[in-house]
Amino acid sequence: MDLLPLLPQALADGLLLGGVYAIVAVGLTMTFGVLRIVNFAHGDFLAVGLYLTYLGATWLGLDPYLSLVLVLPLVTLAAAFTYKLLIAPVITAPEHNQIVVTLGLSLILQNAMLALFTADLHAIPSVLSGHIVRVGNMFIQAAALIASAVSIALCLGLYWFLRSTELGRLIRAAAQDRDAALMSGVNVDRMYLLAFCIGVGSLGLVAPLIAPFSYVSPSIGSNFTLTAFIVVVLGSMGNFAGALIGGFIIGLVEAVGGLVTGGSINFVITYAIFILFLLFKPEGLLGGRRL
Amino acid sequence: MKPMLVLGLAVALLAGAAPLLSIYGQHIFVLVALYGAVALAWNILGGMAGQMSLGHALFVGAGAYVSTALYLNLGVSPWIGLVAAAAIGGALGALMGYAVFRRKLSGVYFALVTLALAEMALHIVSNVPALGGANGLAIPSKPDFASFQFASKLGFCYAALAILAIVSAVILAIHRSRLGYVFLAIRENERSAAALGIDVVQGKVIAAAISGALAALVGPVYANYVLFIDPESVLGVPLSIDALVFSFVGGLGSLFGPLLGAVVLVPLTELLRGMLAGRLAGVHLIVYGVILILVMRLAPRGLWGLLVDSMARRQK
Amino acid sequence: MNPPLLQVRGVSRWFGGLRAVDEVSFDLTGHEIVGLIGPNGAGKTTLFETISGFIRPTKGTVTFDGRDITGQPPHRLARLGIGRTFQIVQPFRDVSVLENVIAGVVGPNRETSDARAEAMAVLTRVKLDHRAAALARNLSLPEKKRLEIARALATRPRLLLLDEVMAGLTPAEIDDIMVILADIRNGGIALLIVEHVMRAIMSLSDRLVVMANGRKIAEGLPAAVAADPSVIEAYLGRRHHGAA
Repeated sequence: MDLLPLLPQALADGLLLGGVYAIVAVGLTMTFGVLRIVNFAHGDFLAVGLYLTYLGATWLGLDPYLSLVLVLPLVTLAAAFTYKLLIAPVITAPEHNQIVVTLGLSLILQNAMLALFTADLHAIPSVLSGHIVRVGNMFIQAAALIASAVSIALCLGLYWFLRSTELGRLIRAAAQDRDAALMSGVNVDRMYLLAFCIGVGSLGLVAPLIAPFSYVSPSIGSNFTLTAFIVVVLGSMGNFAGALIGGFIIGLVEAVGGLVTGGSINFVITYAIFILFLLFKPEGLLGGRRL
Repeated sequence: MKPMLVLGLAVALLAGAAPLLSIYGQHIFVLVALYGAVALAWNILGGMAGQMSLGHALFVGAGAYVSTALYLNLGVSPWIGLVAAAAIGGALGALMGYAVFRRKLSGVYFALVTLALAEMALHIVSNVPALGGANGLAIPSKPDFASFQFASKLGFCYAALAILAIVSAVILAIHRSRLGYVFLAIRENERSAAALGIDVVQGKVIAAAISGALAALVGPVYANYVLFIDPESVLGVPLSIDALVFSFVGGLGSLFGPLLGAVVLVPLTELLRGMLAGRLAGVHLIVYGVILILVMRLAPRGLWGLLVDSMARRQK
Repeated sequence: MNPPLLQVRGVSRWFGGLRAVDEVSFDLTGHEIVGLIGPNGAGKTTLFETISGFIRPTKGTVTFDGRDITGQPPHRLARLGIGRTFQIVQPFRDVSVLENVIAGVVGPNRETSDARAEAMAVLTRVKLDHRAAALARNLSLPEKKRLEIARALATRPRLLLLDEVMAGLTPAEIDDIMVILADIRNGGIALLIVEHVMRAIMSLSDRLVVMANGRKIAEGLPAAVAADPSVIEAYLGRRHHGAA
């Protein structure tokens, strides 16, 4: 097969793509895996972060690695508002309320960005744009390497945070048994707010990191949202290591699938894996948490 | 059988009114009837039985492509195509329903699976040249009854109205039968439903099959009206969102609320789309998003619920 | 002596290392009220769930009318003639009381000539017929409890499982329910009742089964059980609401 020599590059691309998926899914693991909040606008916050990074570059001439300092707090603030205004009122309501409300938010965000920036794809210049590292026969974007490294660090960090810190323990308590936590005097609402801001705010970290090797468009969010949910399910809900592993697997599958089939069939493989997992192994790769 | 009589009268009234509309009015009539039918079909699964689908375009698209492919490749009349569409839609719904519901997965996962399936279908069709790929399929204009094409828009008004009538009749039949109670119980409380002798999984599968079959009926009619289908238009997320939005705005779980939602929102959308073009093309979706949030927070039972409440208050 | 309608034999249910129900056996004949009592955490609800099909027992069998129903799903049990109510009453809120009961009539999927009439008859039995047109969400708690019973009755059970149906009711309301339950038993339906309201279950039950720590520790006539030292010890120090 004459595709074989291209395989290592596809693998490398896949791992880096996987790193991006993983880092986006980590945030969703916090909000959906731990808190059980259904947020269909998750990926759109990434898009917002990307556009903020874009504005930082075009208006203020800031390199994404610099504008990170602005984008992260801004996205976190947006997350806080979203939680207070939209999520908190329906947190105990039937699931479909959250689905519909966040779907509405997604529609608003995507189309507001469309109206403001048009559907044109934009690239965001950075000092590391196009900076390639060569490993053997593989060409890897330096910026992508950095993003992947941060992805792993974020996963480990959040895992440590939830397991080993007092605050993390409170968040888990609030998420696992609301009523018991309330009775123990835990400020459940504040815990949820904090966790939600961490989960969605992390996208404010992700966006500047992927800006140098990605593009921005209004609809980039919805791809990421569905893929993030798939990764979270694959990686066993609430499991940060799972999100990491799941992300890398999906990235590899898509890259190698793209190599083998060409066209947009690689997405089909991802969706097929998702459906198969839900039907036959809903507890994900690492088992544990029941759905 | 009184409600059926009322339905018959309503259909007759609408059929009588159609010729009086302008050409543009008839166009809106067709759109409202078709979108309304999809929303009503969606509501059988999403509102009556309580299982939210985010990928109902799958059924509409399946119906459209099956009928169109049969017509273009084998010369099969779209009248037969309608039957094939309903069969495919029903089978897809039943399969999908059975696979997901017997796992007892909660609502979010069903929503995700329907979304993934619809997206899968969109990507697969986009890559199959025999189905026109991403460029879609064009149907040559041949105004002739057997080809399900009518010389005037009025013909399509009647065709769309007929589909709407069929969907409505099915909804009424469900409502008056044991199935209506099965759906009610499943939506309200699955444990109680089981304790009352209701096979919950079977009920959900039936809801999915009926919903899929009816939504698929819209596909061929739309295809022959516009004379062109492509993955984006009949399998895309916007269509799935429309079905959901109309149902929520009109009144989730009510019998005909979704039609009310379509009656209000379709002309509004057409108006907005006419006024704003290009980069402001997505503005109507912003409006949808805002409306969804407002309805969920302020009027969860939608327009229909508001109507019912105001009539109840007037009676006092 | 009537052949037993319900036979529970060696039913156990473990959750990991926890034995929530441990080798419980008892019979129930067709025209009696059997009360299932015991301190909190005794495993009564878990036993209930296994008998009504919501949980599979880890070991043991449940036989109904001579037929093994172990592990059968709830809807099939309902069609065989086992009805149940739930501790936290959850009527179908947005429809009328009558519609709620009609759901019970048609649920088991059997022939009915007039579901509406049958539902009204059931409502009359629980003295809720005057509220037939009311929306279920507007009912008071005792009315909701009676609706819960009516809905289960509508499935034409031969055995009715009642899960703490008197919780949260005033003494007068409890008396009302007791009359209804006695009436149901007299109509030929067996009742298995989990209850904490001692006064009610003592006077209502033909027999009692007492559980503690997952095991059956006593069985017999109410007076005998009340005097049983092991029963008294199980309850020692655990006064609960409604104790006589």
